[in-house]
Amino acid sequence: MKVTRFAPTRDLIYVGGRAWGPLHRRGRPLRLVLDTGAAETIITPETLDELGYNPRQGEEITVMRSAVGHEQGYMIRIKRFDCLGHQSRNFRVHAQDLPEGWGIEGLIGLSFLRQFDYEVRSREGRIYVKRVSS
Amino acid sequence: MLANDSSNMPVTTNAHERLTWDEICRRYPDEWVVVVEIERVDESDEADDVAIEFCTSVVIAHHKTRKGASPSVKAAFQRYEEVGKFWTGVLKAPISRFTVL
Repeated sequence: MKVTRFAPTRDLIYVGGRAWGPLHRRGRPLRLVLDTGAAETIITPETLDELGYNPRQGEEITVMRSAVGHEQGYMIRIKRFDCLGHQSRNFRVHAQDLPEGWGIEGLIGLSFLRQFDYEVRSREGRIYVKRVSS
Repeated sequence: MLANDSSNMPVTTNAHERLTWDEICRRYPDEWVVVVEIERVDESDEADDVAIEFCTSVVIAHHKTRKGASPSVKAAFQRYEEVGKFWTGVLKAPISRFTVL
């Protein structure tokens, strides 16, 4: 069981994450939002660019429907992704831009979360996460 | 050389000054800060992972926009093993529901 601490007074659950790319040995720290309503885990394209990834390495083009229309992105596998005390290698993320005003670089969706059982203690500001075997 | 968005002048931060997250937010309000040497405030905390709010770090650049900070992150990786980029202002909540088509 791993424990992640977050600030319980915020509007959303902001947690730290870490992504590895071709250019980095220790990974790049990220601020992410835990979003159990999102199917995919999203990282902004510029963050992936900073990590040394290229859109040409993407596996497929995506289109997301939002309140303002349709936005293009792509799916890409990253070398390693750590969050909530656990790591995933060769992890598939959705490269999708997010509004600058949100102050985040990505969302943790069910593509990452479904590997685990987890308990969010909102008042306490802690998330307990246990990997489950498939 | 790193620079902020408002000018092409060199970074004005003291690259050796370690600050808490609250101190960073007061000193660089509503900016994207590029930080290195991130360490937990409370090493005895049982948590395996903590958000940036519970860490100290060293600010090496600060920018008005997220995209503007990107070159500083890339440049910082030439010198530091661990580099992060964080917004010091209010974090917004209006997350829309998306569907991948």
